[in-house]
Amino acid sequence: GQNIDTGAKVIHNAPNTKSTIESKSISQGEGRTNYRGLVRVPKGSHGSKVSIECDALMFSDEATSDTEPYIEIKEDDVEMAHEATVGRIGDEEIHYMMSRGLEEEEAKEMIVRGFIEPIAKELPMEYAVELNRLIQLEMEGSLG
Amino acid sequence: MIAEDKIKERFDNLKTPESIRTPGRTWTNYPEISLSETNSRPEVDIETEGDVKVYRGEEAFEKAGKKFMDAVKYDEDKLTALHAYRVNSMICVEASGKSELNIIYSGEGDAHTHLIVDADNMTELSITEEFRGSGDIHTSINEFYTGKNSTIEYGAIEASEADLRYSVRKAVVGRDSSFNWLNGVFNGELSRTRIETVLKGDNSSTEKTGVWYPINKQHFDISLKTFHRGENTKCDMDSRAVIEDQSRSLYEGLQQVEESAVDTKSFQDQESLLLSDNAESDASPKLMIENPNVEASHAAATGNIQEDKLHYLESRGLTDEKAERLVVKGYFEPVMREITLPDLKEKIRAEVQKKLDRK
Repeated sequence: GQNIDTGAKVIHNAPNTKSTIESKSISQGEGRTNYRGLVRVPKGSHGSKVSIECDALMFSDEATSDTEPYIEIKEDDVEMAHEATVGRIGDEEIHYMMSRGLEEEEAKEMIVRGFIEPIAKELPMEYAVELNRLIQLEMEGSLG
Repeated sequence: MIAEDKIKERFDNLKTPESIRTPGRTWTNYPEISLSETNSRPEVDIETEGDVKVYRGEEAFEKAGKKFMDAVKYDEDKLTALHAYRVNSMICVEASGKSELNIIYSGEGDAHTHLIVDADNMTELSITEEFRGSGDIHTSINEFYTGKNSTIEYGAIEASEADLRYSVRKAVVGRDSSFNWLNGVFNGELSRTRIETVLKGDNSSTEKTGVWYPINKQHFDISLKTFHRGENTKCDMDSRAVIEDQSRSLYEGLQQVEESAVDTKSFQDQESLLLSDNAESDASPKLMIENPNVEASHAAATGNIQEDKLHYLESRGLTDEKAERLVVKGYFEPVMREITLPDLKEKIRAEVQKKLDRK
């Protein structure tokens, strides 16, 4: 029944500034994830580049996921791109991996680690290892 | 009709239409709205083809009965209440089989137009509305209901020169039916358009195409929302804006997948082209997902005309200005491709040309 409401705010207050926001959320059981973010590019911040990516993975029928980005652009010389996806682990992907000898739980863990990988690879090694361990702990015996 | 006393009693407690708020900003600020009468009446030209029954005025209110302001409630905000109080063009339509309905509103003075369409099962209906004329406040509310196995194509051009334009369009889509929208906004100093589709029936679908082009100090606030309720429903929302001078484009897109909506496919894309230093583009594409059996995604992009595109056209002998005009003329074409309302598409192209020719 956890409700995790997170997000990122970036204000481009100078020219030629760059920002990348990458958000990955996983909800299971009755968990609820919410991404709320703001990107603001005021006039004068010419040459700015913005990229926002929000992905959400849902594991159970009771889980919910909301994505609410707010983007305010007041400068024409700007490149802004935003994308978001929501879904669950596909049965075909699980079936494929099980056909290669993996147990169902192992297959799901592998998919989740792959989902998180773009963020984990940016972290220092110790944090990445800890993140993978925490994910494994969360998933043990809890996947339906 | 909604009783005048009921509206007067509720009016002062209602708020102005909802607007997105971010730290330190409200995206759209509405002027003071008061409940007053109007003596004006828009001129209405209607053309039909096929099995379409059109009722107008008192007869339309009788025919609509409780459906009047049922999908869109009169007390949602001050402007829906004002619309219910002042409605000066009421049209109720029943359609079946293969049919067509085209309406043009014109004339001077405030216009508050209301259209209710009840499409029977197995109907193929195309509807177009053109909003012309001028006034202080123009409101337009549509309430559409489709039966099973129907295909409805709706197109609108909002080109009336009013200080405040407010349009709310809502469709409730039945089983195995589709409701497709093409909405172009070109005029109104402050223009707010909200288009909502409720995919109630299983296997229902919607495609929404929005195009808008504010100039000078125009302020266009567009909201496209889809509510997935049935099983195996599909949505594709695609919109583009060209923003020039000191104008503002505000966009909110919502894909809401409710708990009952299994096997949903829902997509949304919004792109803005900024043509001047003082133009502004704000966007908030949202996903609210309560059922994990979904494929849902959205994308948004904002920028100006790419240097390499301009360079290519200039290398072919075009001036800077002509190159920019060509890019703008072609900008809306990819999103209009899917909608089959050829006459309306030509009129939208004509509105874009008018904006370009004013320079």
